[in-house]
Amino acid sequence: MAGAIATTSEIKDITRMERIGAHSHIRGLGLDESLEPRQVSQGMVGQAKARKAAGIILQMIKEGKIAGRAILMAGPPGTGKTAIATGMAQSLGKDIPFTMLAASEIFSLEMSKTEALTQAFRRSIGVRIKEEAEIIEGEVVEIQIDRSVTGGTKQGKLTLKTTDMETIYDLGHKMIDALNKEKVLAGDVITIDKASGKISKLGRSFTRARDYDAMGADTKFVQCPEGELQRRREVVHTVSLHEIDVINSRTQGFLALFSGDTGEIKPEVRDQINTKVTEWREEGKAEIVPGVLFIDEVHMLDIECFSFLNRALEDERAPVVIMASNRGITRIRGTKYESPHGIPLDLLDRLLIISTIPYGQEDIRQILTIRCEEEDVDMSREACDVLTRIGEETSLRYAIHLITAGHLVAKKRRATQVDVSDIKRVYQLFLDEKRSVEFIRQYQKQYMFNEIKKDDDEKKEKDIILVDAMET
Amino acid sequence: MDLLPILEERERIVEDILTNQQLVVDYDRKRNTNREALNKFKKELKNEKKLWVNLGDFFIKMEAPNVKTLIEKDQKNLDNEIEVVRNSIKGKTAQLEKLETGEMEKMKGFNLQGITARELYNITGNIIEDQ
Repeated sequence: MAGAIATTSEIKDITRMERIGAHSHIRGLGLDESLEPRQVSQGMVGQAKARKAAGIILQMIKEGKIAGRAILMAGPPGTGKTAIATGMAQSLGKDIPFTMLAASEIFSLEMSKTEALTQAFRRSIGVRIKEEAEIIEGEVVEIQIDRSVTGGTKQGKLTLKTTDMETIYDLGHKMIDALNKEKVLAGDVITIDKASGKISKLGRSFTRARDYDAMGADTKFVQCPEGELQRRREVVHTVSLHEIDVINSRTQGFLALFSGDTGEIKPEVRDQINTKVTEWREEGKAEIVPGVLFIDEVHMLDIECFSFLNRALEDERAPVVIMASNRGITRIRGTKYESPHGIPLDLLDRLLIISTIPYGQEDIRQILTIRCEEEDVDMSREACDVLTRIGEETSLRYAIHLITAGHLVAKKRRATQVDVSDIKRVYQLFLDEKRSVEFIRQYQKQYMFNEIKKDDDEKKEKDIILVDAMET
Repeated sequence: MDLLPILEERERIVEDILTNQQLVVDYDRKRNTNREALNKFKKELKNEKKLWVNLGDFFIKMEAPNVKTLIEKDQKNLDNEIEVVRNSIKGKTAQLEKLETGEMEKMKGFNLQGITARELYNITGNIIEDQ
């Protein structure tokens, strides 16, 4: 049995890699103390209204006021919906769980849709707990073990010290075995858990650094502890409900978190955990921290998921759900009915809607400058002007793609700065969406399967429903 | 807002915390010597009737059982006292953080009751012990 509580956030920290993603330049929402948006701050540009709205919601989340509500961010593609969500996640801090999910992720063969959604919900609810342990921590001054010739019971003495005191502990045979197993020597700094008697070695004391001429590469040196020998250690963790589910649904315990193989979790297990957590809360042992669940591309969810969401939002342990969609009035997946954003009206009625608007010229230039910095690209002023125009006429995403591409071209001609010529070159090399469509229209005859008749709309509609039915 | 009173208050709290920390150290030292004495009772002083006890500056000869109860009582007292001082340190640290940052970010959750790993990992009671 593990002696300490491990959480996945700690585990993830080890494996996290620094890389440049689409929203890696965002550090927060860029609001000042009175929640007024600054024009350019923390990687955010423009969208003042949406950002302010997001800031107010954030404030409410922090005060724990709007658990169980839902927010929809609607706007055309490339207007910063995901960016705002990322900004919210960044400014929430480590303590409040934030789960990001693309709606299409829930369609998997291993898990039912509702199970995947339930897991996402439970991932977004934190339980704050305090781990408490009484420990003895000190530097080993001396270990003395008396063995009788006949091989009877062993007896021993352990002298521990801190910078303030020194004391002798009498050892029973169990503790002697534990010390032997850990290979504790004089000069080691150790902790002994008082409840379980578990000994762990923290390292060797600095004052004993010159005891030996050669030592193993993994020898760690630590300071001799200060203060009292017997102390209390308190650590506060925030674990998500899902983590508690996984830990408790497996016989191998928390190791299941490492293997990643979680599978479906039985409802009985969840019920048991819910009761236990409520019990803890009443006893003052735990606090519930409602987090945030962000569902991107929410129009990809089908009608069953929406009705599940409707019900799940009413649960007393529901997180704040933020959804994002770039659709206008469109068909609700799994039905033949149309609805705004592809979301049924009854659910839409529960949502607070934040809309994002297309960026203006100045905003586009700012974003491109920020991206250039993030991707470590030096760009001349003229090139930036050209790129801004491209961004205005095509799309912001396309313009951002051209930054790195242009940088590579510039590198090839051994220039350090990206110039207009480089931008022109990549503009010719890579088609944007409009030119690509143009191209297809022109040469449609040469592509395969171009003989499907366009006018047969009713038949097409039927086909789509058939495909949907097969998917679900 | 006046800065000086706040600084004064902060300084006072910090001083309190440091004194209390030193107090815990002193109590713990006493507790450890008491523990050593009790161990001695168990092993070497089983058959003694009367004992010399060092009380601060002078020695007194006392009946062995009396000495034992005396030390045990002292031990209990010390445990309680340390608990009280620790709680006061915790309260003061929270107060200090509030004065310094205006929020309670870092001390959040420290007012909870403690929980052990076993409680968290074994809600359903299906974990097999592996030492």
